[in-house]
Amino acid sequence: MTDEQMLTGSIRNNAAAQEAFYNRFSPRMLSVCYRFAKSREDAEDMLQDGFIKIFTQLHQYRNEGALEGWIRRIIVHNCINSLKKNKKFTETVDLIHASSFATNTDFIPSIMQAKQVVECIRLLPLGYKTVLNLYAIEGYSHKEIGELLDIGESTSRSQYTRAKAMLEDVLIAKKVIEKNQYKNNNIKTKTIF
Amino acid sequence: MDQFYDRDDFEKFLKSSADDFVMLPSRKTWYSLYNSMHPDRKWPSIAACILILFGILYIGVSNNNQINSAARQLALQNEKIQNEKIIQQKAIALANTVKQHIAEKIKQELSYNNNIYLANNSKKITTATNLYSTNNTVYVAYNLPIPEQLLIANTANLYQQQANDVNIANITSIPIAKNTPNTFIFDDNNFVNIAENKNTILNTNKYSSTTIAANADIKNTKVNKTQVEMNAEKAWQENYALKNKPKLNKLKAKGAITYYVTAALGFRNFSKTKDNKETGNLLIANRNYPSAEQPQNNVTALNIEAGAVISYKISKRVALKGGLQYNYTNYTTNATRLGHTTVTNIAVNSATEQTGASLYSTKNGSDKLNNTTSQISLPLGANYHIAGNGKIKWYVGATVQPTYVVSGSGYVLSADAKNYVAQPTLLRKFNLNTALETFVSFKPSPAVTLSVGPQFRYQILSTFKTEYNYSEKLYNLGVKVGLSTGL
Repeated sequence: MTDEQMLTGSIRNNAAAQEAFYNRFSPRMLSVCYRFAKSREDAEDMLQDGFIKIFTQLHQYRNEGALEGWIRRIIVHNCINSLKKNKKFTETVDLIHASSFATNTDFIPSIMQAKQVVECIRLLPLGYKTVLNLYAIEGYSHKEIGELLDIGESTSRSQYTRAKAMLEDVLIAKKVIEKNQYKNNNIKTKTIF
Repeated sequence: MDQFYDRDDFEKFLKSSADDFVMLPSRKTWYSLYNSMHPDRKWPSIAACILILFGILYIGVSNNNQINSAARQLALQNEKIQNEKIIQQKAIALANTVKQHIAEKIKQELSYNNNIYLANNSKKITTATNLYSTNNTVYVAYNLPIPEQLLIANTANLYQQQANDVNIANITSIPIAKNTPNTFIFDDNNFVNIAENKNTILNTNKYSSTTIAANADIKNTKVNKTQVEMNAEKAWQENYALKNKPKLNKLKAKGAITYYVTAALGFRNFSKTKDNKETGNLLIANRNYPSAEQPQNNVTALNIEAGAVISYKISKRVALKGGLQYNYTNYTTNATRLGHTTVTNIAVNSATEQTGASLYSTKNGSDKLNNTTSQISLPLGANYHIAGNGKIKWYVGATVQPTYVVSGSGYVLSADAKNYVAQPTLLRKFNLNTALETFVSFKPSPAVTLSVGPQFRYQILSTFKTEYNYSEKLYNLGVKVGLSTGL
């Protein structure tokens, strides 16, 4: 099935086309959801809701820009909306200081580095993790993050700065990166796949 | 969205690591997604479940009937055998008494008359010395052709008339059998009517041919005897049936199943629940959309209900009922088809922006949008018997109906109320309906009751989820026709 057939079939609610579409994009989108979610189960729920929205809105896609980027944006929005349903999230995301947070780096599995990095991100407090995911990985600006999370732009910046510092500590502790490595703009991944 | 131009190396490292990480979702996620996207494809499994349910119900009910029927017949037979034994014992005891009594009388007669005459030929058949009896039979020795006319009491007749009601004076016949050429035995195999002759034969020594019934009478008597037998049997059966009516179990005695169908006209109550500004939907709150809904032209359409309920009488006038029902709701909206697809915001009050493609504007036009839902509901309620007896009765009834919406078209308004968007995902899956009805029932036969009457059905919750800015409550008015049978 070609990409065009997959796309037009999915718009026409053709189950086979939708399955092909899902198989094509779901692995990468699940990893996006996984970075926001508490658990794999939550991530799969987010993925499912996100794909329902994608399929119902697919006819709006105008071939302007990458399809994956369009899908990713819907998935990220859906993840944020899912998190917002949790009252604890709205309290946490507005919290600038997370001093009581302690990272148990021994818990991180020593497998592939990409997974290590993602698992380290997931260890961050919910608010930090969300802002960091949106800014550093998804490429949202602090203004957009503020609107999306109903927080001030400055709060987003503060959250991000602290999140980044905390993540760096975690990654160094886990020896995923070396100390001061990123300051020299010379990040070297140890083992990627 | 930033394009990572201003990101430092650490951020780029995070980005590339995160992008390299992929996970395979479980297959279950796809199946859940598939079911959400194609709810109509659940129909075969739902239909199969309903079929199986009804199949099991049917087998259960029919087996129960067979078992009960067999048990009833067995009980009937046992009872009959028991009664027959009792009556037979009483009849035999009474017959023996009668026979002995008659034998004594005959002996007495013979002691001074020494003759017993036959009906037609007036021939002497025996003497006292030849007459003897045992418990069950009376023997009369004779030297003549077999005197079939000899009339004495009949135990079989006693049996048929039920021993309790018999006294000797009313005994009219006696069994006669030919045992040997020279002796005949009174037993239960042959019958002769003795009518009033019993006393005659026993009380007088002036017997003549007229004393005992003639052969012709005997023939008639044989016919009568058969009728008597039949009448007695019938009387016994009727009497037995009256006294031994099979006891129905409570469910059968008080329960009934009604199959019904309702044709109705569907309408709706439509109101705005929240303004865009109240919704928290920031993306649409700041836009100057009109707060009032654009005029719409909704036309009623045919709604259908079909189902079955089991009712159970809890008092003389009140019966509870519960069952399974399929509902098809529909109304038509007049709209105008646009020349192109328009992407528009849907009037939802959640913080989530929902956009949809619209092909129709709310402007009144010649295009018809069918707003349909297919539902399965469980009607639970009661009927009250207002008036009427015998064949025609008048009832009122009410039910609440927890309802599952299987599928629907779900046309919703855009935030600016200018477009209709088909958005079935906004349809509420579970709803609650209520129905009021009054009907007249007619019983054309003991087993079947027909009923007909008007029904009003109202949907308590909105058709759409709460995030939709409008509330739509469907109602319909129709005629319900039903057919009831016992369980």
